[in-house]
Amino acid sequence: MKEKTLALLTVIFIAMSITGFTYAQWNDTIVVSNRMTFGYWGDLNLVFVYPLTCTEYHIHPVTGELLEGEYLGKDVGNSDCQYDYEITDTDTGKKGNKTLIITINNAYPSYEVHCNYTLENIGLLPLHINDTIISDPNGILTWDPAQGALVDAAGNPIINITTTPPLVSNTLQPEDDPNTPQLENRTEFEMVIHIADNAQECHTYTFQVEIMYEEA
Amino acid sequence: MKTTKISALFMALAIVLSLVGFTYAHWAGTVRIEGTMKMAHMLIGIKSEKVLMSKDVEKYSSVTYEVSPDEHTLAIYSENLRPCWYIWVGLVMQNQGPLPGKMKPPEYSYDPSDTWGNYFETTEYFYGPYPENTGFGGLEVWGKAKIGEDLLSDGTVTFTTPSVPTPFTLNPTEKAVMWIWIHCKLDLPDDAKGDTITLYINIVDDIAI
Repeated sequence: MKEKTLALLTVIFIAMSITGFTYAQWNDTIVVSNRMTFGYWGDLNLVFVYPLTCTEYHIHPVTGELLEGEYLGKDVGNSDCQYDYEITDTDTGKKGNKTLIITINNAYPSYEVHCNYTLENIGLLPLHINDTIISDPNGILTWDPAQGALVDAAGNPIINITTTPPLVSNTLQPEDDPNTPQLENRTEFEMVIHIADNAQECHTYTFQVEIMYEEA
Repeated sequence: MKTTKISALFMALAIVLSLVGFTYAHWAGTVRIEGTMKMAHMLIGIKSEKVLMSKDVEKYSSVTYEVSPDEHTLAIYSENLRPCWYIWVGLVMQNQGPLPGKMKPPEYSYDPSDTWGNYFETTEYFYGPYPENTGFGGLEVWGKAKIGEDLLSDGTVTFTTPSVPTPFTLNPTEKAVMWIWIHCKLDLPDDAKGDTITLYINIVDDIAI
């Protein structure tokens, strides 16, 4: 019996020693050291690249057919489009432009310009266009998405603007390997600018289309 | 100690926010299309004008007239009008804008009231279009036009040059002649006696595209 009591006390002593040791271990400071190095992801770069064309069209008043040029071959209006603000991607060395400038002179109701431009992803990351904002920098016109037009204060359409294919949700990959056309890094868009009947003569109208993109 | 911890926390937040902003800037961007659209202007204006009265009418009535600064309106001030009073108004109009214009019959308005329009009747004749360098002095329908011979009191004309129906197209720089017969009807009200009225003739054009 005396031996059993001694053994029990010994066991209790050992258990308490282990507990103390463990506590002592847990109560100490453990330093975990780790070295983390971020990968290089580069910049997102969506830019305008060539080809770029601006073409006049008119709708035949009788047939309703969309025809190139002005009605009856007249030469009244004229249009011009060009890129501006060239940049170079620091990772790929590719160049492109951040701004497309469209200038239309001597416009009149029913005058229509088709501007074909190309957007290219010149960066290293895939990206997609997530939003567009159409506005008048001078604040005279406001964008009415229901009419697809910039409208005047009375809600009358002045400039109809449509883009084909739709800009938003387009994904552009960084690759430009001809063997993987599904991963094409550029897309051509056509923007149609149509002067509506309510446009006032002798006026100068301005519009701006902001194309916003983010990493896909 | 507590102050140091709070400062450290704010520092950490500031660093994290900066990183988020920097990262977002690298993961999003914008390209822009800027458009400017200058509209053409339609300007068919009055380049020359004359008002012809018969000798009979001249005996009791007088007329003065002027073209508005925008060359779009002719104002005629008339006194001592009577029933059967009439004048012939001639206008040479030119398309001075870059757009082809469509000539239409003019619009008339009256001062002090447009109800005066009920007591007048009008007839218009258009001739042309003529090239810009046309010599209008020798033109049958302008320089040689005479009231009583070519422009009759009943509102008809005897020109050999046929008039053109409206609307017709007037291309940039082209000119056209318009003659208007303005005639006072018989049923002038009694209270019209002594009144002076102003008649406005407004050129009406439209884009011809």
